[in-house]
Amino acid sequence: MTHFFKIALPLFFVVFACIGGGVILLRPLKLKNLLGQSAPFSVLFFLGQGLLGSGLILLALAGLFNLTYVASIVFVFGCLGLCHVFLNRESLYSSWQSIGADWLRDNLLWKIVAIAVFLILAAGISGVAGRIDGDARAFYLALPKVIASSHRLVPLPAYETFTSVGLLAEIQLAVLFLLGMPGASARLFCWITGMAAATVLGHIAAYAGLGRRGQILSLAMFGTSSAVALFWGQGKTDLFAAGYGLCAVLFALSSWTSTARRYAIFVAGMLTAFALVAKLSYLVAFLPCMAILLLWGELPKIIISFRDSEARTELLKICVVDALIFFAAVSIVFLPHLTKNLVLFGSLGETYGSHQYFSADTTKRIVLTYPLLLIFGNFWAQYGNLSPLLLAFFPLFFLSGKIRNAFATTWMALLIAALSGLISWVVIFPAVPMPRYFLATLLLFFIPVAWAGERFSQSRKLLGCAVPLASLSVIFIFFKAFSIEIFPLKNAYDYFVKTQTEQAINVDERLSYEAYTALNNAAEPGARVYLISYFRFWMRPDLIQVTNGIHDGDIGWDEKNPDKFWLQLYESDFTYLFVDRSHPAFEEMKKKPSWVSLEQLHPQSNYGGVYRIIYTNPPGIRKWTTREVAPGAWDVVPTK
Amino acid sequence: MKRSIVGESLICAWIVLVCYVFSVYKDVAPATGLVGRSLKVFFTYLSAAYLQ
Repeated sequence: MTHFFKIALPLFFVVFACIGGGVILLRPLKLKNLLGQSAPFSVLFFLGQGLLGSGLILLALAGLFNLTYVASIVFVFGCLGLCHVFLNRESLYSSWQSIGADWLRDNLLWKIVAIAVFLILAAGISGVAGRIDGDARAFYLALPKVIASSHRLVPLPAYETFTSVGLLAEIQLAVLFLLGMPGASARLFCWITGMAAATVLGHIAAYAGLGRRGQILSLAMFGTSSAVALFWGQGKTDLFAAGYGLCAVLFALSSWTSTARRYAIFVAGMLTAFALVAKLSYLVAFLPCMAILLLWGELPKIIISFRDSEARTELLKICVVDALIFFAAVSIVFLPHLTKNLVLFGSLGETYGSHQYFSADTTKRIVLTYPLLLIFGNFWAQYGNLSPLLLAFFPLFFLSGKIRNAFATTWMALLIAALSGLISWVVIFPAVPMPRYFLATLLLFFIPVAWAGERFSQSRKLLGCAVPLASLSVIFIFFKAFSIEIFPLKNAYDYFVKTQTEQAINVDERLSYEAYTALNNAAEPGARVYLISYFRFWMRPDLIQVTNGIHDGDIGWDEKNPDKFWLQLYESDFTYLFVDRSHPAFEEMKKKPSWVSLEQLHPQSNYGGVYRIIYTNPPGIRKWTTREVAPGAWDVVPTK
Repeated sequence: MKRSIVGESLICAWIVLVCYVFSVYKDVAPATGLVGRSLKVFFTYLSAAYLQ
């Protein structure tokens, strides 16, 4: 069981360290004032993630991301988190008791739905033995692995400019790698983050006045959205931003009634900023959403201000002060991120990629098929859909009859905020139909629709059964459809209990792992590998640090002069070649000069081929080499 | 809320339809017959951006 504890213990301490961080950031007494109940641990967890992540980025930037410092911080914060949970265990018991009592009171069908929702969320843990997403193999898991091994934060070769993105999630994964989590198991933290986000969504539903059935429906939609579930175990970090965003929404709602209103706005600002750092695209759809939710509390004053100039001045004053508080919090949170970019790139941010993915005709089609494409679309890089339950129950919303004082309800505020966010996204990025870029905004649609579903579920006629039966059907279809991709239960059992090695993970991932392992076993420390592949996660971290990057940009295959390519490789000290057939000139490359020979270390397959490059009397001189500049940290340096 | 049995039946039919469409979309139910094949054409339309 050593393997199991190697996975469980770091996770346990980091989770409690995050809760401890949240406790530091918010005095519990204040939080009670803010949320009208004892502090939800999931909210503390996200706040602590933001605090720890921001602090640890600065530590990594200073080259001090070593076991002594990081383990000490995690231990101290973890103890604080444990103490807090222990001292507040009564609130945990009482909320579980209340959930249990409600479950016992409800009818059999709803009891089964509640269990099914719990199981689908819990089964997400098995994603840790599934395939790792391509982007995660390329960057999102590779960078944390390198940070943990090199104890510093520097741009990842070939992703130099992309390293300018916010790294809140990645630095936490780096902590888990540093604490010794094996293989790619650190991605389990993404599932934990997803579960915490689900809890926050449940809190928002409760805050919006939904009953237990409404909360269950919200979670059923959360658990059957592939745009959410795909991120539980594939190593991409998009759920972190969604979690911070949902917490920000919770504080924005609490600001309407809280006695410490401005304090709630400040915390909402901090959480919005954490979401923006983790996913800058939230600027487009989530920021307008937050503005509406924060202003909604002033709705009565806004209505009065239409006919009263004095009230208008008063309202303007309140809005200006609130905006200043909000943006002060945003600025504070952005400081570590901007510092990172200033140190690494000499600028506050780098530009990378383009958001014009499709032609004008396709873009027109994308816009015309909103919102259906969010549920049944499958565009390039879309990466998942929202739950079909959203579509199934949406008409119920309009058939709920005349809703008295709808604008005074929280779910209406959430609906309007989410709609504004969606419209804002479609207007600004019509060619980017990707839910992950504004996931927190889209998740808010679940609340009003779950409210309508709950309302109809109380009918004694047909609909009383249709709502839970549809939920059960969709959960079953979802589980069956994603049994390999998201829920590889057998692989997970083997990974955690039976074989306890990387041999237990998804077969595609294992074959990829084996190709890189052949390279890892052969290469000397700090050897340069010319990587003709998008993926690098399974490579040894010392090798990843010195692979071909921005400085090797002039190395390229020249059909007219094939010798030049091999000479450039020699001059730059590349002694290994990893090829995954992604290079258009792969076949051509086999034509090589007489002074180059290739020794095959792993047979060429779809998962990659590994070659040692042997130079015999090369015609040039070696201009570059590698050096270990600090324990575990390797640089490419000119030869003397 | 006053709802007729016809109204409720229509809503139920809509919910069943969405569940069926989802099962075809995820290849859990076979896309046979005119409805199944039409749905597949519809899904292709919703992913035609593969053509850029």
